Amino acid sequence: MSETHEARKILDLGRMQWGMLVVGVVLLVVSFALMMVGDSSRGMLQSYLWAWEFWGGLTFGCFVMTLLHHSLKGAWGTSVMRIWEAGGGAVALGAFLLLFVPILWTMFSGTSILYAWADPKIVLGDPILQHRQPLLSPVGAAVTTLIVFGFWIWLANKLRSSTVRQDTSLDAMEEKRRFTWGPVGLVFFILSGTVAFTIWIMSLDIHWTSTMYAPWFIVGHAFAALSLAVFIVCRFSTLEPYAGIMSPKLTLDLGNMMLTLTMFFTYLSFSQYLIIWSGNMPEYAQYYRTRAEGGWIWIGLSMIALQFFMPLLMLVNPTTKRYPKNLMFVAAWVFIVRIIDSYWIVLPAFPNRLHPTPLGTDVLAFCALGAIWFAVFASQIKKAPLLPVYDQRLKEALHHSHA
Amino acid sequence: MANSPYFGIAAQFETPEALIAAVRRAREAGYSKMDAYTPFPVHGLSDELQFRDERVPIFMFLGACVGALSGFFLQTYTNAYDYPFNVGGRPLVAYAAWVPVTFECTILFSALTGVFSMIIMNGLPKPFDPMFNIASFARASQDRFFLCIEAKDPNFVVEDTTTFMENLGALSVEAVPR
Repeated sequence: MSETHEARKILDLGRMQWGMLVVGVVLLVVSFALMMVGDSSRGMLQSYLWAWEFWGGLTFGCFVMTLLHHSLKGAWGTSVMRIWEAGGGAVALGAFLLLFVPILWTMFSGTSILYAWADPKIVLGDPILQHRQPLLSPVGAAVTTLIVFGFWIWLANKLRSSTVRQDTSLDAMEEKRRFTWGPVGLVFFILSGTVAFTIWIMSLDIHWTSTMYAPWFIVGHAFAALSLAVFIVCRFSTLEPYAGIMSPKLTLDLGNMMLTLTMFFTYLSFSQYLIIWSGNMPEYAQYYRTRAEGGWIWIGLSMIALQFFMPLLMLVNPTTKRYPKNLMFVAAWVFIVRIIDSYWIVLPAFPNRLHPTPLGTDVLAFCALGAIWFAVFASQIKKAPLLPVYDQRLKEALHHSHA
Repeated sequence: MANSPYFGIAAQFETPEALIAAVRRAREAGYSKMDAYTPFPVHGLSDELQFRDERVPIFMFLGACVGALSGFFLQTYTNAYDYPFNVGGRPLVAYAAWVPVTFECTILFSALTGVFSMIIMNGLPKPFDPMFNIASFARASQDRFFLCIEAKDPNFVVEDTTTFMENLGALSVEAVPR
């Protein structure tokens, strides 16, 4: 009797919602207060932008993985789809649009706190920035951000309501419709994301451009989203509903997807570096130069080992992928390394960040937005069954027809 | 029965499901040295046969390591030692530029090792197999599924094994001469 009781323990991710919300709001208020104080304003805003890039990026990563799932229809995807829907759904995207306001405020402040192109005096003496005015100006950036978020929120809402509807109606046509939207959405997400990441992050290094940048970001964020989802599934693999679907086949598929993204992310990362290295042009090379000075190089170099070789060697081993506990470890590893990598990508762009020593404001902003992220995630994950109902019934039907 | 005049006893089945069920019952009856022959890959059959051989992945991993080292060595040797050549003032050992070739060599060596180790360890090419001694075996590459319990199995006794296999629901049971 006690054994069946054990097996029926149900995972409740929604429980953390209010706790996380309180922590998040308190930390966010402190962050906003520090942004207002003259001395700490600059550092706080830089930290905030990084935190927004990471947690917002996780949201976009969840969204793009949802789109990928609706394009591939792989069976493994249904096990984690609800996690991505909650993390990258319309509400999560909307929250990060709201949290963009402080960054938008620096654009309209007419100073170069974050973006040099936001300062009219700098633009006046710089023909390249003048040429980029349509996109890299406060109005251009605000309009683009709104359009891009509007499109993503609309599409995320459309797909999520379709899966929720199918849970009750069991109408297979819903799945077919999502399958037509998935690939189209994926293409437009990459296109719109290219414009958006160019404005939000790439323009921090004012004269530097790279066409590999947006795919690099999107894949990196997708990698973080995948590892978070894999972590949740593997961490709670003994609780319902995951206990019911856990099998060596599922962990193998999830592990192989992580292996794929490990290699794809490294491919993009390295290609961008190699092209710039071969080109040997000062205006492109300066991006890596600023990231190789004052101790930053040790983070950059360690990423080769920590973000490529470690996960690669762990994931090519079939034993890692056979047991949820092992896979959980790799997923946690990747997630943590992604945080460090995004720190290395964003913060050296600021001239005052000569050394990779984390500031108190970095920790504050990271925790504030992280808590908000999990609060939104929890509020969304409890609105629908963790495993899509339609898929379960399909499996049962198939099982019975064979038996 | 090492010096049996037979290679084994073969049973012929009509469906992959029947074959899998037969393999399971044979295993439960204590037979371990057996093999199945099918016209196409049958999902779950190798699990049922408890066929586990993970030597090919290990060879492939070793091949990958050798490939990576030789690709890297080739470029280091040619560019920096055999014929040092200054390209735009870059260092002679420009390891960043060597990653693509190193990577390709890793994949190439790994894949070739995989193919050849698979062929060699499978004992291929194999122009003759005792199973060819039974005429009906020609259909193993068309529409029939075969299970053969081999004479080297410790529980193999010609009469007993034949009776056992006849009870498995096979279309026919034949002794396979050596």
